[in-house]
Amino acid sequence: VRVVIIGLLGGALVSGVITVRNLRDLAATYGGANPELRRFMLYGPLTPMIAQVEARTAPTSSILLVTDADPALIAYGLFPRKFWQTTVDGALQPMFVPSSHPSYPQRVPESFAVDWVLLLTPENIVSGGDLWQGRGGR
Amino acid sequence: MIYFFLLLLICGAGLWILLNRAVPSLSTLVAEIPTIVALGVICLYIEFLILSWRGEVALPALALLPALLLGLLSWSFLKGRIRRENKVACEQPDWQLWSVLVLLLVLQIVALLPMSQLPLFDWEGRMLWALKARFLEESPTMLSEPFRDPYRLHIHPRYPLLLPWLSASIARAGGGFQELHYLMLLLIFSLLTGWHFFVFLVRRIGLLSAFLVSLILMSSSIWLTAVINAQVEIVLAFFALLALTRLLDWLEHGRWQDLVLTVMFLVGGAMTKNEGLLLALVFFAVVMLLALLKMRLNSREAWLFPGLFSVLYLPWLLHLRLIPAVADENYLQQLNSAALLHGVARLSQIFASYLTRMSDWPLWHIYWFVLPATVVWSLLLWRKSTLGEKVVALVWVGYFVGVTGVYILSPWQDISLHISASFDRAFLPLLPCGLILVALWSQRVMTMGVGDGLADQQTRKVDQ
Repeated sequence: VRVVIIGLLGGALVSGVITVRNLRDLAATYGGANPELRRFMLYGPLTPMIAQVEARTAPTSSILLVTDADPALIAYGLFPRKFWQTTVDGALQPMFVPSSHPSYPQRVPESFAVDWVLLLTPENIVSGGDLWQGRGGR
Repeated sequence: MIYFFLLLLICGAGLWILLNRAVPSLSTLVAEIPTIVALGVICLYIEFLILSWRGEVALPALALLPALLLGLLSWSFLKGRIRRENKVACEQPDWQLWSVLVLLLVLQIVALLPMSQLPLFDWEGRMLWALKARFLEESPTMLSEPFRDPYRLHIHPRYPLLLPWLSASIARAGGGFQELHYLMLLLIFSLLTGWHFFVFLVRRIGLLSAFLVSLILMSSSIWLTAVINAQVEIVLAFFALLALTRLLDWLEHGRWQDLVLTVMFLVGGAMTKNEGLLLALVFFAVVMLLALLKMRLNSREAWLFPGLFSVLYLPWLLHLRLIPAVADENYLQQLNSAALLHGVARLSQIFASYLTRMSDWPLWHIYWFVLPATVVWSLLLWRKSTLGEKVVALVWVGYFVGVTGVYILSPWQDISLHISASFDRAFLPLLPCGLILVALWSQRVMTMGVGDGLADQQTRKVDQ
């Protein structure tokens, strides 16, 4: 029993020290990085898009996001901008709810009263996505 | 921000005093801080859910419940229904106990100090919980667009919102959302968990042993990583620990107040994460089993469990009805024979993935071997286990079976990937509870041998 307790304690302390050391390393790396690198550490491949939207839109903007990518990080990174989301395929479907659901009729892109539309695909993600002003339609 | 914390403490302390019909001594008050905070959070959140039906809930509106509790307290004082508590919380001299507790808490704060220089990095922390906190900060009601409009929904819209609400309330009271506040909130829950864990164990296994076991919990990589990543499972572990320790207190002393508190903490857990609902189900099953086996409680007491739980959980259930259903989260839809057969067929793959995850040596996941081993040990030595040990072991087994059941029904095609992404988080809530079992067994084996036990000790006390 003593061996088990000592083993657990020793293991916990060793693993804890490793974790805290990793935390300190990360804090040092992040603290020493320039703003661009910091942003990349947070948003990865979405960094160009985040930068473009921040530069071109006001914080109070509303944006229709047309993408198959998971949009949650976008909405968090660009808060307080409001995002409506549809999938690329048909651009009519809410991201997380089946459009066949009887309570949620399909909407055409023009029905979204938004300031901007952002199309994000694997092809245009490197350049920050296509961002244009106006209602849902191109 | 002080205003919000004041409301929280009035709610928690007021309810504690009303339940116990006693004003706590200073020693008890300090020992019960985690309980008081938990009660305050649960009460204010339920109040928010109820008021939220009328639209946005401004912070001053939350003063309704604390005012009501203060009124009740004043009335009870005037009627002489509240006495002054004079019992000592535990046998240790206070200064020793509190010095060691402060040392534990300071150690964790110092170790995690670099957190304050970092933003919120964790995917789940940002996308799930902090994003929803920002929605609730912007519009503090469950009726707002991000929780209703299917085109504005974000990932996992039906996840419980206790932590986002708490974070949003602090943000509204403190001048806006800051990731640092969010991270510190999780750190506070971690410290409160360690606090309660230590105080609970001191009464049972002594100061030094309690310190060592608390150190195991608070310095382990699994725990620290969860705090650093601001994982909401820390909050669930906090409620799970409170619920379990209250259940053990109830089995020991038979006070109905402990049973009520157990249920309240389970409600807190269920409003934090859906795994909390599973935990409540497991607790209920264990209590019903005890009732059936006529161990300690009668079935009427056992039914108090689901009754009170349902009433307190109802406000969230009503809100949940209005949140659009999401296809990929509908595990109940998976409850058909074809999906079950498919899931059972990959059971070996599930257990293989468990083993892979448990063997992540750099992060030293040996707990996931030691804790189940202790549970199996308790079950094998059923007759020699105390009632408390049996209960902890059964809760562990029940939760393990439940989580494995969820993996069986998982809609993920690659189950190894699902387990690899969620194993630690899925089982983290039971880490403190499992360590309690290890501590109780270890203490008993070291001091008395397996053949004797606390059960015998308790019997002797009763005989005396």
